Amino acid sequence: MSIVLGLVLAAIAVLLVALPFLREPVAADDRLAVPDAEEDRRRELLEDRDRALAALKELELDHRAGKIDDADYRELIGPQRREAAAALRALQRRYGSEMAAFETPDLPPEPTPPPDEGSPPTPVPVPEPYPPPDEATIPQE
Amino acid sequence: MSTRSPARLVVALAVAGVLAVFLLYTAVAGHSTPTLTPSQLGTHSGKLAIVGVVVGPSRGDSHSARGLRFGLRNIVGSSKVVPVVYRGDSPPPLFTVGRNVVVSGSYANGRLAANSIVTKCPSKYTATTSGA
Amino acid sequence: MADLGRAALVVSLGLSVYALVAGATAAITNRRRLATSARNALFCCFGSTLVAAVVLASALVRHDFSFTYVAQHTNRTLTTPYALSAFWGGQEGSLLLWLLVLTGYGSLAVALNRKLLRDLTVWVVPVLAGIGTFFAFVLVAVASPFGTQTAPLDGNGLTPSLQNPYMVAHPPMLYLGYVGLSIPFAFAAGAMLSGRTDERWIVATRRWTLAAWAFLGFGQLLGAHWAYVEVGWGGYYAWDPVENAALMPWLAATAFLHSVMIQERKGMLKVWNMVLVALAFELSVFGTFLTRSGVVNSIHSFSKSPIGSWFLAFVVISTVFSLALIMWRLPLLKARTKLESALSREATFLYNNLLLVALCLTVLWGVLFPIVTQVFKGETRTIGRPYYDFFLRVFGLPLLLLMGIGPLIAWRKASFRGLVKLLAWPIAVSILCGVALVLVGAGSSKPGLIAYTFSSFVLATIVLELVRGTRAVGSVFTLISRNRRRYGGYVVHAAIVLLAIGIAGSSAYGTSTRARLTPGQSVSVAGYTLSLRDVRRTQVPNATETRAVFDVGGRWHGTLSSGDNQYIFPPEPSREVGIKTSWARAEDLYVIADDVNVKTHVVFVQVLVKPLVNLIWVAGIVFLLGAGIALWPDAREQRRLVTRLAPARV
Repeated sequence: MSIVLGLVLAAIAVLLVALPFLREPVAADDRLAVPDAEEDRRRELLEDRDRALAALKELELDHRAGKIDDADYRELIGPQRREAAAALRALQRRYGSEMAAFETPDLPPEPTPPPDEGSPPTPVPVPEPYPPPDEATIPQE
Repeated sequence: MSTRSPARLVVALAVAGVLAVFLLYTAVAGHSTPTLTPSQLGTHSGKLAIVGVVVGPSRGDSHSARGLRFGLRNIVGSSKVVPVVYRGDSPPPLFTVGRNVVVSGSYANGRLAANSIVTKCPSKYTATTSGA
Repeated sequence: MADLGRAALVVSLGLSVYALVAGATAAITNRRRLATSARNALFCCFGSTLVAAVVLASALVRHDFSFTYVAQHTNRTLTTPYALSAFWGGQEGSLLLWLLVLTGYGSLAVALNRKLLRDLTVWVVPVLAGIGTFFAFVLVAVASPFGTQTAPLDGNGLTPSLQNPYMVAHPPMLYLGYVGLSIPFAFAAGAMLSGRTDERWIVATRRWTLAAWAFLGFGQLLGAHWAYVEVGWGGYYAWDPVENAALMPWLAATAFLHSVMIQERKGMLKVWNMVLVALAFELSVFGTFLTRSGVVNSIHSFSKSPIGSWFLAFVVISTVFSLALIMWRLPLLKARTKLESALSREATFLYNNLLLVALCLTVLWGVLFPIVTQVFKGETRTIGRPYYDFFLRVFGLPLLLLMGIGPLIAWRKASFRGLVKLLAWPIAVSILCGVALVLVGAGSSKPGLIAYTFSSFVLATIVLELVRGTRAVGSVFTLISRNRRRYGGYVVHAAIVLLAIGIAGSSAYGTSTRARLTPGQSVSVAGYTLSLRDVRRTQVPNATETRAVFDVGGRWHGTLSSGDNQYIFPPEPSREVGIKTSWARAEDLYVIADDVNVKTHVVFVQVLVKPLVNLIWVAGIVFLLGAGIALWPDAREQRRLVTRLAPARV
């Protein structure tokens, strides 16, 4: 009985392992659909964008939380914003305006400073990364 | 973008090198103890540890002036029996004749004056008298 | 049924070899159907291993002593949980558990990532299959759990002193941790083999790494608690090689978890991360080798078998493979940015990594030292506790400090002025704490005082982070739910602080005394007075219990007893300690009556007072909470990742 069960197990395994070849005895295209250079570039650009926007968001959060003072914030925000803007422009150049829009941020608005304090300009609200498309529109394999 | 910084590499290697030397020195000169079997004792003396199996009979009391007296021989293979006198806390409850132990102390004139006994945990699984 | 188990393992071996060969061929030649076939083989390998596991588990529960393994590890009196715990209690069963968890984890990781990371998973499959092939081979050819014999009337039961819940929980926790580190390793190797060394492999395995690390950490704490309450020597960690075998991969994984954040944020430390993930994996296999080979002396007893040399060969081959892979792909592992300032969060993460790896290598050196001296000097020398304690302070105390500074310091570049301003309150709190501690007498131990002071600094920074963040965002729940990794990490840091306080308190500020007592006599320590009331011997099923009963006065009034149990079947003794935990006084009163003479009523007793030791166990709970927060799935983040990784629309 054990031997029979063992043989059944082996047979099931062989069947499942052979399944891709049984389903497509002759495949029109047997190449692995690995990302091409264009896919890689797109992904890199999206990574750059998400990384820059996440860093910007964290910088804004840290500033609002008082972890970064105004002087340090002024020094850091410029390069960070330029990085984010460059990432967004790179995406826009390549893929058009659909990548340019973004949601409003989820942080509360910066409180207006009293007029007699030499406060920095109110920062632009931090954009969330490009809103994800509906899952239904993501191409399935 | 520049990714190479030889200065950083040199500093890191230097720190690693100093650390390695320090570790080696500490390990060699500092806190290591020879751990020998009875047959390896040879002309050793001083602070060391002996790994062996307890041979009896074990006599005496570790709390008394005369101490707990027993012997140690090689776990594997034959060897002389090294007499041990242990003084200190009661030995671990698993200490018994036939148990593998590591005994630490001072070895001189063919005898170990021990101050620490560590017993290996017994096999997790042992026969019951009713069965095997 | 044993035949079915053997057959299932042979099928597993065949499938893993196929997955290795076919998977590698498919990846190299870019063949889709073959890659799918190899992936199916990995899934089926899990299936057949599961069949083998069910066969063994069923035999254990049924006490089928025709299985040699079952007869060697259970007897008829063993209850089901302990009979099942024999699965991992013995050599062969624990190897089967390794293979089961490996193929299970591997199948799940590959299944979850097969669409979005198809270019990586095609390489991950043969790497996982390679590891699986080794374990399957050992199970089939060297250490099979399905050997059979003429069934005896009864088998070897689990030593009564080991029949406690820890035996059921501690080993599987550790295995889930050890084996879990194979997943990030396989994905890292897959990234290098495929030439796609971007951050996707890190993102894909982030939760796997965190889960494995959490299991390994919590498993170690379970073991420490087991030692504390059951073994009865008054301590919880002996720097034993088997204990260190779990600590080393955990330290490497801790360093890895931190440095991957830098790679994700800044594209830096790519080579370092590859080295770390390989180190964590190799150390987990090396730990398995250590516990089975008997090459180093350990109080933990495991069956010795020729398996040690097989494991050593596997460790050597996989290490050479990892190093060769890293060297080959060095050009692809160049950093995208550089470290801009020594005063930045990136830099503090780097310092933290160096300290963690230094501590890991220190422990590794201590473990290997007896082998090294035997090989080079012909004489085994062992390294004692003082070595480990010294380096724990040298590396651990700065690490503690960095835990407080790191989260507050800005990315890229922080100004010294800004940092001092930010740290002003935590520094003030820690100074006040330090002064208060000195005033109450904690200055008796400098390392202890430093540990407490640094701990108060870190706790103050964590509280400050929470308060500031909550003010900025509106609610603490929103703050944590929108920043799960970060705040989960802070909770874990808080756990480490509790651990540090508990260790410092119980070791640096503990007191102990020894005494020889007869009934009516007493001993005092740290405000407690213990009077020996009586010596008792009681017969219970399968054991004779000998106890010295103490009346305790002073800071607590009550009764404590301690002594030993002498079991009948098998004839083994076990020490039974008396522990009184007081949360109000934040300490344990720990009594070890290590020589109780029933005839003369003379008792040799050791009494210890261990301040704050229970914070170590509380730290375990907090640790799990922090890991849970960090692991908490984030639907928005998941959608972002899908967008990034999904193939572009035409």
